[in-house]
Amino acid sequence: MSASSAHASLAGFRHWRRTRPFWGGVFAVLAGVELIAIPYAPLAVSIHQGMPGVASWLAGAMLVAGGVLAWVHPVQRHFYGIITMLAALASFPSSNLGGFFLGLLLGVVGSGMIFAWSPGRDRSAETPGRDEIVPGLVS
Amino acid sequence: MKHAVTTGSAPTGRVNWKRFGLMMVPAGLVVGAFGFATASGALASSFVISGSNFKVTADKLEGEGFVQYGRTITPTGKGTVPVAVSGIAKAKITNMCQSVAVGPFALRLTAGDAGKPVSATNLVLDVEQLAGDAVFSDMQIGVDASTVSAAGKDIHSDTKGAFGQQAATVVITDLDQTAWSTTAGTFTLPNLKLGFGGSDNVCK
Repeated sequence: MSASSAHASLAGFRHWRRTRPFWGGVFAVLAGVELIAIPYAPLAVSIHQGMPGVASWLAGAMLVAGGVLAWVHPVQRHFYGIITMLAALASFPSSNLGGFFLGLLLGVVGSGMIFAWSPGRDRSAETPGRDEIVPGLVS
Repeated sequence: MKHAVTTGSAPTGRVNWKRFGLMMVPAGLVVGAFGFATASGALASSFVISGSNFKVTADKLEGEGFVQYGRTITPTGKGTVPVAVSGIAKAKITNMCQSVAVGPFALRLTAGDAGKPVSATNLVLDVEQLAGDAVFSDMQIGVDASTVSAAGKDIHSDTKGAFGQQAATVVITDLDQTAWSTTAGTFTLPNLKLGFGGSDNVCK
């Protein structure tokens, strides 16, 4: 890969990052991974345990899925923000007190950032102004 | 993805922190309510922990429906470890303390030390080491580990013919054990305290 194409892909990534709730998604995915990582080892035991064992995976999986979907489909950020928020809150009684508070905290902050992200407010954006008038973006 | 730089059909955006703050208010209230309900013993928590061993101490453990049998587990990067699986259908634990080393720190959790004991259902522990004064009632030693049934039909070994034992009730005082995993159907933790400290912050 030449230096110029590496530079272009870096700029592409920066653009990709700035056009969606990137950091909110990062926090939500990290929260989900943390919730799953704490009980990790025997998934067989989690299944054997029935609902409580599976519940600890469920909240984490919903956070990972919600975070990734917020990147893929930023228009639906309010829906994903609320779903990941509910999953993060549900992790407190269902999964090691929300992964000993860390996963809960990351999830609440991440889902709040997904929900509160809005396009078209950046001063450096090529189309400054209200997000409502940006064509093709109905939310 | 080179074309993404030039087309720029999607507008760049940022987090609206005012809206973020609005979202944090109800979230904070819910977390606070959960925390209060757990600490006062009204809300049951679910624990599934494994992957590193941790220490559990308690003044007294009273269990109804107890089974025990051996098996081996293979924690990541630790090789094979033999453990005694202890299953208890219903447990009440007075003055419980649980600690696990996290790098140079120790996470310590205490509960059930203010008159109201910790209660757990379908508790399954992979125990590496256990010390304490134990009293069993209606004990059966040398039961096929795949047919033990005192802690319910779900808690038994997969290995036919292995050694197992069971009892109708168990009371262990001055419990001090090292375990690799705890799973429980429900775990009610009155007067819960959770905190990080130095490596000397472990339960004694």
